[in-house]
Amino acid sequence: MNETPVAWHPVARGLHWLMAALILVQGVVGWVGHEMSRSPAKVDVMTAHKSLGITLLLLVILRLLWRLTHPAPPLPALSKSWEIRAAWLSHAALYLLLFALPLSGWLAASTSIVPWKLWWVIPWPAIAAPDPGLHEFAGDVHETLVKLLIALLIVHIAAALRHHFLKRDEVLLRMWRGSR
Amino acid sequence: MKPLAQLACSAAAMLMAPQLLAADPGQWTLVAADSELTFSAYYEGEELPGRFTRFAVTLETSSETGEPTALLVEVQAASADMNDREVNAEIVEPAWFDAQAFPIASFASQDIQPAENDGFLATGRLGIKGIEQPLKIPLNWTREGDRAILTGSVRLSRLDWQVGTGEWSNDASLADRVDVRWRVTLVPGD
Repeated sequence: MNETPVAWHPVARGLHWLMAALILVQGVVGWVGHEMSRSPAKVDVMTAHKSLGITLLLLVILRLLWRLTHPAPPLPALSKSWEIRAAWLSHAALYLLLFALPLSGWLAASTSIVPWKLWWVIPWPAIAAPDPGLHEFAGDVHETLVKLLIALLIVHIAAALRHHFLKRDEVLLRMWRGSR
Repeated sequence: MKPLAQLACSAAAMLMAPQLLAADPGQWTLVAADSELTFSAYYEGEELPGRFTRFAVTLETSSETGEPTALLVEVQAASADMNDREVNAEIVEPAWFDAQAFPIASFASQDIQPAENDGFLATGRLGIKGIEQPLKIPLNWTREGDRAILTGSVRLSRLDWQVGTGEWSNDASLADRVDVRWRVTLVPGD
């Protein structure tokens, strides 16, 4: 195996696209649950949202460990210094949000009295006691982070499309299908 | 005598004879600061604790035996607190306590009989949401100096009072069972 691969490892690609799909689902589930009036169905939708959030948290931990132990393919040789900086910064911010979102959600779930189990089966620990004030704070933080994530994902997707259609380089393809 | 003058006279009489404040030892009222009325609901086996923060208790005792003879408990439905703002806002809605239409839930008993273990059993009616159902509640009545402590607990079926309608009107996720507990401090007077 090369020290600096040209494409992403299948594990890295798998985690990237699995998380991308789950984050999309997670956004829809969270939004639907948020809009529902309180009912047993809402509790179930929110249990799905909480379970998916914890699943995503576990996945991002795996992903970061993988990333830290496996070299990433380099950016195209002709990248400008601002591009390299922007890429590093936006990816660092994405990782940060992928941790902060489930953690703030976990805090919001913990400070509410509504009971839930991971995927309706596994009792999941609370990281705080029920607390109306803290619950509201965690919910506000969570919603703000959602907006930040949406903004950052737009940048992320726009950058990928720019690489593919304008710069016509391999950046999108090497995450999509690996090496040729 | 006009009511106001009457009031003034009795106030004056009380001021002059403070012992008259306790003139009717058969009547007891609540010391709210030293009293609690709590409950537990159960959601998929998880206990959800709550409490009522505003309620009144009056109890009458026999002048002969000093034992309880009648009880009236009045609870402000809107004071239910489950330590969760969204749940607290929901619980006053028509599907639950319908607190706007029925602000007071009450238990009234004129029939209190000695029961086992030095306790008492109060037979009365519990009214929630305008629905009255017969209910017997156990009472432990102890005197501590000039105060009296009333404790006990009862298991209720919330659906008997239609607390939780529509998709909540079953035992599926939120149990029908609700446990209510109280420990109230009473002092003589009305």
